[in-house]
Amino acid sequence: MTTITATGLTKRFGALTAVDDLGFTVEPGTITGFLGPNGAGKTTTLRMLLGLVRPSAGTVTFDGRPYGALDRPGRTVGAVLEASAAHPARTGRDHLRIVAAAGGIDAGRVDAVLDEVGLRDAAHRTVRGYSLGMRQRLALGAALLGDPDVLLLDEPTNGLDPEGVHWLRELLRARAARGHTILVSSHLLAELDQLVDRVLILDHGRLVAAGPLAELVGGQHGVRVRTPDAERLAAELRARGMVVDPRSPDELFVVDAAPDAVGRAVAAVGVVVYEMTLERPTLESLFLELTASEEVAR
Amino acid sequence: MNASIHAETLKMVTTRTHRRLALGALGAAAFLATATAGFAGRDGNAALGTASNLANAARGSHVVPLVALVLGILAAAGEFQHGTITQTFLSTPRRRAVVVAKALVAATTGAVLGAAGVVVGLAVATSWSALDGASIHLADATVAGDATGVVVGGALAGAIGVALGLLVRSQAAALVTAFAWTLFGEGVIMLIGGQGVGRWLPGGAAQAASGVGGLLPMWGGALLMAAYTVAIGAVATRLTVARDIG
Repeated sequence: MTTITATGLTKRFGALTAVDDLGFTVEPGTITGFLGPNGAGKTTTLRMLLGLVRPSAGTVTFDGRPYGALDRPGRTVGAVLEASAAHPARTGRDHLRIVAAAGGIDAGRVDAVLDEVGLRDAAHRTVRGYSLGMRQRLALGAALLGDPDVLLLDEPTNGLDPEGVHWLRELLRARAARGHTILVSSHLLAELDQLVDRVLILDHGRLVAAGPLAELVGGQHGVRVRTPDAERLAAELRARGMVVDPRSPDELFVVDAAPDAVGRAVAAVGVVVYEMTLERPTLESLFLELTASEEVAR
Repeated sequence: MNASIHAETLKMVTTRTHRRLALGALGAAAFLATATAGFAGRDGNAALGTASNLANAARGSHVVPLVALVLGILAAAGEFQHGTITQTFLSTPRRRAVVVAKALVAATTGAVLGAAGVVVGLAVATSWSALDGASIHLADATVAGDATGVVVGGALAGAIGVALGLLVRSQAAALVTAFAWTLFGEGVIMLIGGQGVGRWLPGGAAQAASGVGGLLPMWGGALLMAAYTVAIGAVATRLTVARDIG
């Protein structure tokens, strides 16, 4: 059970502030999605978490200790970074043997992990001949070697086939259920929508949203109705205690309503309905709203 | 520290390029010893089986320090070239320990390769001598001294390769720097500063350490080369510890 805490985390490259005064916590037992447009500072933040990039200001700790102060960090934190690479002239198995040796991890874990990530048959081939998906599995294998409490994954589904994505999702869910702390960055929002419990959304190096996914996108559920009698229907809906947001002369949005309640109101006033849709805002719409409004504000 | 040394040793021995280079070095040592035997006793060359002839054969494995230098460069710059440095520093955030482990492993590799080169060279030379029926003067101070020079030179070359590789971070650039320096750089400096300056330069020190005459004594060459290694290594370590990996 490890909590990640970032306070005032900042990274400047010359005049450019890549990450700006970031503060967040990542709780055990949850899968947290780490989102942001390209260049938002996600990778720089992950690299600061892992002690690879030195913050210009601020701290980030795992249960109070910075990554560099962890004893055998591979046993506490497993990481897959975009650039996680293995030497092309080495076999996958040798790569994991090296990671195990460097991390003080029992060499017996190597074959177990090769099985777990589905690389047993390719274990004795050099990484040069691996597909992108196999390299990603090898990187995941390296992260899992020390059976860590914390997983930090940067675009982990890159190159994975649908079966691989499904496997990874099950693996992360199982680990979160065991109380592990998981932070996943991805640009494939639909993928995260079905996976994460909480999100951190980064834009231009700043945190623009943080919290449980259900809470962040929840307020915008509703039913959209297209009808020529919008005013009559709106009056009826309001009379029934619903919040109505007229979007155009023939379109209403009924906030937080269920389709059956709206349907009963439609029947009661007997209006013609052209279209009625349950709108369930996705992570994607939240993301676009948050990051686009920032863009407009500039 | 032990974990880092273990990991660096595995890296050194599990990379095919490294194994091929090591075998190539031993092959070249055998070839040069054969050539030494072939020309023995002719054109003023020492006769087969004499201490001087055997020392030449042992020193023929001069190619070994060169290969140790290349291995050291590959072990250090290769990590940046292939992006494996990220995993290395994830496993061992204490970067100083990684640098020291790399230097120690490359030095050990150079020493082992040097010893193997000497054994191969002497095996070839004594075989030729035995076939020729010449008496073999293996237990001689000259032979022992030159053999030691190759082993020490190999060790120092490996360590200096690591320092150079960490400093430059590109395999090609580090290799070109090393070879351009030894082939032309020192020559240019000697043209400007006079021949006497040569003995104080890294290449001159390396040659002295492996027993080439007319320069510093062997121990002096080794000490000077060690000093260069420590100096370049200190700068490389400072940069490596402070650098953002991204």
